[in-house]
Amino acid sequence: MDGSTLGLAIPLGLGMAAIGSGIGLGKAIEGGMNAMGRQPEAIGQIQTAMIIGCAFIEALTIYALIVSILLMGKI
Amino acid sequence: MQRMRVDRTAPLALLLGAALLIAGVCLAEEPAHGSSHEATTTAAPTEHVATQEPAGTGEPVAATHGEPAATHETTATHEATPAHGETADAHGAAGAHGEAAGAHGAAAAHGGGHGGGMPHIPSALTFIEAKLPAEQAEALNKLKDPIFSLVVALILAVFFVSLAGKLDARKPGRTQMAVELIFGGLYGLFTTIIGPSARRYTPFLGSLFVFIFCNNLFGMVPLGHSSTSSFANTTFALGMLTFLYVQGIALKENGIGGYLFHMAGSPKTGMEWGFSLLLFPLHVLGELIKPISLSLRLFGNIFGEDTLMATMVLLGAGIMFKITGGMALVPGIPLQLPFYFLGLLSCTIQALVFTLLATVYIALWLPHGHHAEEGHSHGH
Repeated sequence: MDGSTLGLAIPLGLGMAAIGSGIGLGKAIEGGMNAMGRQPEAIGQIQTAMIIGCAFIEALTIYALIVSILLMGKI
Repeated sequence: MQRMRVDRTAPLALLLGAALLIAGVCLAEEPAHGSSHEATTTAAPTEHVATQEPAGTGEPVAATHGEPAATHETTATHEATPAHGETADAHGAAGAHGEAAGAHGAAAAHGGGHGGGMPHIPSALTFIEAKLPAEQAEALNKLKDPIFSLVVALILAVFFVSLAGKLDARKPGRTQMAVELIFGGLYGLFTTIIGPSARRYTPFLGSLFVFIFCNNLFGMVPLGHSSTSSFANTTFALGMLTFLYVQGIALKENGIGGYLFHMAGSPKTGMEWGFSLLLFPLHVLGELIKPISLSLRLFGNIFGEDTLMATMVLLGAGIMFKITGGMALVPGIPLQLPFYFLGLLSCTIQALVFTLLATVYIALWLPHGHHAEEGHSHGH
């Protein structure tokens, strides 16, 4: 694969990964907000669980970012 | 607060952590460069590193190779190094130290060319490097992350040790309140996850949070550099430290038999015993992946944020350069200003996430009945 193809593929791939984890984060935070609204006394626990879940979702984009950083050297 | 007086061990834990971290740093540095250069380049670069870090080379390098995860790792660090080398390369192209960048680029060229370099904000060391000959500058650049993490660790250790003597619950002042706020907040957080036994793990986890948080923030300080934005040097060391700590706790709390039983998925019926043969390697793999995913997450986030900031600085400077027609000593447009707030947020959240995940990993290894019981007593 030559440089120009990679130059198109890297940002596209990263963007696609970001779309997926954006949707995932939106769903997770929606659920968290709903739960917090229904049960304000459990906000602390819900928030902790939500942040941990968000970290796992976000990690997928980070993996894409790392792969794209590695591929940047090959352009 | 009686609790604060007892927790004078926290700075000690921090110092110990920093020492382990530096040892890890040197170990992580050595195999990566050793494996990448052994075939192609001469002994000169490695020899140079050896003279630069007397403490690191004496340590058992073979031990990291013996570690199951480390063998996974050498390939990853091997690939990650070119990206790191190119940051210096891009900077060198800007004219600060062209020669050093050339040498560095040659060292990093095994990754297959060096086209897309990542911009990075110059740190205090960059100016020292510009004054040094190429080889020394290269060696210094390799040690950039350990140096900055050591600086942060020293600042924190001195700060907390000097603070520990002054605190007194009977004469609360502003400092007392601030420290109690930090400690109480972290302790409360760990308690909701682990239960009352979180008390035992708070020194390590709290130090982890404070250290990562300050390291992250150091990237936004002028002339600073966040050492958490490099994988092989800092974040993998932190991940390994957490991994060893968690495994130590797991062995201590469950015993060797309980540890293996937990690894097999805690089987109860005959069917589950049958499946445990399949589950065992899966659980082992899961344990080994944990430190890598932890450290990759931290590295990716902080590196991405620093790169974003540097890109904005470059953009601002470039626009100003166009406007003034290349006048010297004109400050750029501070386009990075809005991203500082994003950076502050992300620094806090990433430090919190690393610590929380470490807490969860500990909680997963604590004996089940105990943990469930604590969980219920904490439900509302």
